[in-house]
Amino acid sequence: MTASTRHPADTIPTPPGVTLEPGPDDKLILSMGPHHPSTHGVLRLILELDGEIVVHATPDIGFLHTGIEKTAEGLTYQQVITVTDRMDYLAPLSNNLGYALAVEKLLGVEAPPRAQVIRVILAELQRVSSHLVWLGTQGMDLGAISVFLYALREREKLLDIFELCSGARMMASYFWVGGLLRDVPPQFEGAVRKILADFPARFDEYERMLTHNPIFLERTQGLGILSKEEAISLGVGGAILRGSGVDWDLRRDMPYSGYEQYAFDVPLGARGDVYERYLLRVREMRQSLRIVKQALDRLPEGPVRISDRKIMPPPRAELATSMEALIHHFKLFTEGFKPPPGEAYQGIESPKGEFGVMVVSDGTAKPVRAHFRGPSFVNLQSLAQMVRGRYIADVVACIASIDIVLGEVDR
Amino acid sequence: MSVVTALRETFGEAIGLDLEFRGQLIVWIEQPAQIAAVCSFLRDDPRFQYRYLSDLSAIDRLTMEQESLPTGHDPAEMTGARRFVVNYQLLSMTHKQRLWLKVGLGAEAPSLPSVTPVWTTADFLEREVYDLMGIAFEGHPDLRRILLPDDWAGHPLRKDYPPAYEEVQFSHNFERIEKQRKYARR
Amino acid sequence: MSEDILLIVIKVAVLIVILLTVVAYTVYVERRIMARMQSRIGPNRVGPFGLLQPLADILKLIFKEDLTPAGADKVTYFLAPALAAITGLAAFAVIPFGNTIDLFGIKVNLFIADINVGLLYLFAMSSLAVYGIVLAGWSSNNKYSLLGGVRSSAQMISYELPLGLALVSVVLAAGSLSLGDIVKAQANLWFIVQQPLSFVIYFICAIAETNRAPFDLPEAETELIAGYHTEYSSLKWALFFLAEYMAVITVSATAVTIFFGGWQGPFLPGWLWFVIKLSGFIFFFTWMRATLPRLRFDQLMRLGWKVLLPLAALNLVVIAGLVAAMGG
Repeated sequence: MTASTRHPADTIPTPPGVTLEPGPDDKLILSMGPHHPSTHGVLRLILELDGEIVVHATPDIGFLHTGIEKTAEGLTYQQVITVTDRMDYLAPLSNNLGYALAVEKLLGVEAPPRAQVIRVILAELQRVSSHLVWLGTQGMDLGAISVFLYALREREKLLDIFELCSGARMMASYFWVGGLLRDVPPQFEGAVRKILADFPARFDEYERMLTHNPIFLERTQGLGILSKEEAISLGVGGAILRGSGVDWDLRRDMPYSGYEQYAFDVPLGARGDVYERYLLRVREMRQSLRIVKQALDRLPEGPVRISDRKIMPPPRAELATSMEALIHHFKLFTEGFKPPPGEAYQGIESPKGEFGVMVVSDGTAKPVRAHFRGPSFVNLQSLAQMVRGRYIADVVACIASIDIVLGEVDR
Repeated sequence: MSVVTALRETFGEAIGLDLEFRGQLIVWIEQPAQIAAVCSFLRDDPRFQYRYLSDLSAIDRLTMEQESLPTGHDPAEMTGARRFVVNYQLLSMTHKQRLWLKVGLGAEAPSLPSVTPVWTTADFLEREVYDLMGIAFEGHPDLRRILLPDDWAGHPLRKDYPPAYEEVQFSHNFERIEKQRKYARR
Repeated sequence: MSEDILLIVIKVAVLIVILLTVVAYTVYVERRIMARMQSRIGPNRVGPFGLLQPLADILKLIFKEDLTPAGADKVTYFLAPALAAITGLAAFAVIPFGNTIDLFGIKVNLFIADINVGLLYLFAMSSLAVYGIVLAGWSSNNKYSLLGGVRSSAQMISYELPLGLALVSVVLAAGSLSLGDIVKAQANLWFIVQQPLSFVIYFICAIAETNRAPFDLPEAETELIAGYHTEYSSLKWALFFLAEYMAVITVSATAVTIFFGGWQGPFLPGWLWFVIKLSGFIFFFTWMRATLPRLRFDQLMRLGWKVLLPLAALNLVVIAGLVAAMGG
């Protein structure tokens, strides 16, 4: 093959040790991605194919690397919130939550009760919204295109709620260190109650289309199996971990943000295949609504920001009358707050697994190091194992079931 | 028996300072060469069962404010013998406990044994640290850049790798920026 | 004699124009119906109710840049879409879409040619169509296209057999290969009532033949980008598109002709009955596309060889036995 006859995708440099020329045993090397309709962004897989059967899959990532961790080192603690939005862009509020909790741990403070409950409500709605995108893409990747449109129709309603609270539909940056950006508007409760009333019937509708559909069963059962031991060793999280029979959910087992006050079940699977993950995620969505309902019923009155003026800016109205408030405001927005030297790691149960944040402070206003453990990044490792010896069509189903977001994989 | 006591009993000198900060148990491992053995012990010991590796990351302490260091960071060793710190976040699902292992590494060609034989998940995580921080993991099956292109020069998360912009100097950050200035790209 | 030829030329010309229009509006109708099913609106901007959308689409396709990938086998690459479209159009020649009508004092048969081996001809054309796809996949010099082409040829060959067997049982009952005769044989009772199993087998195979959902593996966009037509653009791509929808219309028309009494029906004129029945099928195709996930390649093969083929063979034996017993 001369250079001119090669497919454009082949001109992207391949990692050393990986070639796109046919191997000695005449395997077809297929460069799947980075622009492929079902690699969910810019994931690139180098597939070694024997006919349509995958002999080996090598993920090649980094096409969306934006250096978020390096960027964070140049921002103040509060400003970093905005870059966390851009990692898992399907669940920005979960990222906000993980980061805010990590810095709060570093500071040794806790958000006020009202803020914590609102955080739980929104984080659970975010989980539903992230799972809806997963459901849609899982369906679409298997050819059931209508499910995608239904799921996104519902997600719109959730985005409306985020917009109501923060003004932004996706990049909300709503959870601040020490509370919330601002209190929820009065329409909030009604809007969430409407979702609680509407959504269970919608979930039934999706299930009618997929859960017992023979083609869907045929395509997903027994596919992409991870055993319990493999799942733990691979460090996968979320529905993949629980689908393999590992009973672990950070919300229940290492509660944060007051999750210990809510009654909810953690759906657990056993078979560890794509279908099991599908069932678990649909059940998780129902559980999330259960949490939201409890949280909404007990939503306490009170402030949504901690009163420590060294961390949270004073209310806008005070600036006109109080010199001290003005100084605090000015200092916080020019310099930022300075946590004591130390380091903190906080893991939360994001929709995709454990989202971990490590923040290191040396006493200045900017983090020396902010490290994010993206669940998608870790979960992606399981792909090679899942697809070995399966068909190309299965690769697509497996990618969808891992539920990766490339913004988080590449960071 | 606490995990620290057990570690000291088994590994003796290799275990350094242990401390608790904001409810997190942090243990320093003094001998980097022992890290894989320590991890494998913690994973398999029926008393602890740290079978899940949550996170693996690294810190570069080159520009850290020396007078105000987190506990356990020794100012004398900041730039030389222990410039880099590799963090291991271990999780025991049985005991619902986390354990934070820290290993200090020197500035010159930092390297330590890979924990991929202990946890498969360390594969990508170690590659990320290698890519962005330039720490080599001996025995890693496929140690090459993961996020950046293969022909990238340097390791961006190191403190002497400057960002593409220069921060404006104010009185509150004057000294920090002055310290970083020598690493700025010319 | 020359009058006959003139008549045929006119009929061919008229039919092609009608067919192309029907294809364009099938796409429009499909998009509108799919949109309704998916709680969307669908094309509604170009002209009233978006009725001029197909025209706009065709214009857009004409003005698109026509790309030929470097390293493509140029001649084959050029011929493949033409082959696909021509076979699709030619297959329609034998389908009777109405009774004989009087037009300006001339008796006009509403089909191009009622050849006595009509059904065989139909088979031949649909089998030839696979060459268009395979050659497109081969000549594009793209691995996705190649895989799409391979899938497609395997799929079409596997499904041709049960499809043929299902139709042969109808031929046995009708006693003729001519489509006109088959229609007339259903004057009292449609073959769908007589041989429901043949119809089911035929219809499943027909969906697979036409590469439509849930058997749209050769162009499964989530796996193979666009399969065999990944590299095609502009009018060449439009020809593949035309071929696909032509195939849908042809298999639907065949189903109407063979199992649903063709153009026959009470009160309304024959051609209108034909159109109504055909629309029903096209709606069904759309409905399936909006509802069902896609099968995997090996599952598709298994269904074809291990389920449909034995079933079709059994069906044929039973029908043959019945025909013989009833003194055929």
